[in-house]
Amino acid sequence: MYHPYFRGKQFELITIREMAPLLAEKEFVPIIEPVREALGGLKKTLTAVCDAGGRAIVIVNPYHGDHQEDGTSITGLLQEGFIGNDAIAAGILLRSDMTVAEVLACYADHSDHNPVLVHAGFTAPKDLAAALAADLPDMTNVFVDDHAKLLYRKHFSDSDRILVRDGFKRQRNADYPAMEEFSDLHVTYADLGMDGFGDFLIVGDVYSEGGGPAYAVAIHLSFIDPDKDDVMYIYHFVSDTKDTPTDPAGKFGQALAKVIAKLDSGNSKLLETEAIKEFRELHEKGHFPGLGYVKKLSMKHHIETLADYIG
Amino acid sequence: MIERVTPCATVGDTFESAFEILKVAGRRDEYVYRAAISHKILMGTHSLQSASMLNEFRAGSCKADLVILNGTATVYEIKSERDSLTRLANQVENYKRVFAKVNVIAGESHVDGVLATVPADVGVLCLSRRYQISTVRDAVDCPQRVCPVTVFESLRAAEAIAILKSLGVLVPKVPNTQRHAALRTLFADLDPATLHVEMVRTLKRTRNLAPLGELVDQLPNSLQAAALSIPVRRSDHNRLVTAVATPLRAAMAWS
Repeated sequence: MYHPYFRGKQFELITIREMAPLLAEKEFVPIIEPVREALGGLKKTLTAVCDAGGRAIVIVNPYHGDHQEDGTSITGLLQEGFIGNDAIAAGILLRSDMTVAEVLACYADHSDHNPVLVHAGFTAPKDLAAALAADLPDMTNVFVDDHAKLLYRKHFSDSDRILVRDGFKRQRNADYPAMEEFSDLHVTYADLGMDGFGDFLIVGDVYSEGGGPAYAVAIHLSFIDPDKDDVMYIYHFVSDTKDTPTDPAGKFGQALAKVIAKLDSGNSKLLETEAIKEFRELHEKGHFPGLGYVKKLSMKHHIETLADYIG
Repeated sequence: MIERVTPCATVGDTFESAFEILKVAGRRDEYVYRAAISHKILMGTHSLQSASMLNEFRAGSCKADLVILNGTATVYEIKSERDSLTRLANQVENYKRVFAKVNVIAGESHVDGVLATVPADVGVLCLSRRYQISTVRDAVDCPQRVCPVTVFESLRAAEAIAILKSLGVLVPKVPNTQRHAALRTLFADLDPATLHVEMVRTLKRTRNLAPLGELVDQLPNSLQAAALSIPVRRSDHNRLVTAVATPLRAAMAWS
């Protein structure tokens, strides 16, 4: 099933928390890579996921952010609050600099947290699969598409396999085209022999810390096109003003006006989700709730759109 | 350089040694000029109590290196021996739209080039080989030439609103997506000189450096300009002072 991959910045965690009931209902399992030192927000989020009867995978050795050097505090959080809890699994990120021995050691350390391997650049799949052979039938392996191609994935065919593909081509806000293809993985994953699929939502795999002032404001909205074999596309609504770092609120107003015009054209193919309702309300009030909140609404819309498709 | 320091030297002493090396004409970068202005003008002529300083303050399409606010606003564009003068004419034009006094401070090698590039109302200062600031030409104080809309674009929203209020201009309640445009329209009607006075008064309050006085006093000269321009959380002040006072040999073992 669907595995949205989140970097655990503030608004990513808020999105998961608020979407926990829908995620649980649809059996969507978010993968969370904690990037902030403070783990309070993560703990609240995991509690919300459990309360809703959902599941989540938490990366215990993040590659990005504050826990890059040492993820023991994340392991600590799982052991303190989420022990004996099948809902929360430890995700082990397999990067190119890890050895089989290191992976196995981390796997053993988290044996009480249903460890899930997240393959993202690792180079010895054959040896690893051989070492884990006995466990594979009960395991889940997640593959980040750019790093784990068909032959690589074959080694793990005895396990549940999830393919995560970054459909979002990140660029400067000012440079986005009006519309582009996002992904067809939600249609094709089974044909690829996979048991589930995932993406990096409308944020992309590229990680950045905050960043400077936005010269342009962009609202990203995904839609599934039934006339194009249900492929998912994404609209980028970009403000007209893009040559100064000032007035994000006014620029949001410009981008939002384009969203509303597209919606009201009657042929947008955008699903009228709860997130879209909120965009409409913001347009009526002329209110800018902040860039983080706008990102949250776009992520929410993306998840609601896939939830509707999967039904 | 690390081999040259004595066994009991602190981290702060090492910064002092480094600064002595950088201070030599020909090697000086922007920071040396920034330090000279901070010491000799901000803390020399004025004080942190009566004046304030802005770093990298947006002005039109440029960013002003250093602005000192006392009774008026004076911008200092730094042209160290490592800088070129190609952008200078455009920078000065942008600064005149925001600040009453515009100065260029340059090394001796650049002074003639600066005089040939900038108009007569722009001041020219020279940082001498002996690290003294001398005035080649005084800047004309001309607040009436500022452009109110450009001033507005340089300010934070709260500062713009404070200025309008103190000038008795009614700020209408509009949704925040329309606020910038509404404030901009109100600024366009302001009298430039009156606005400039109020801008200085407001920025001195919102960008007040007096709370940094205690920190600056505890740091070696070479780090004072940095302390005035790089935000350090209040709770980290003591840690910074302690770190600077640590013997270098001990600090080199930090991971």
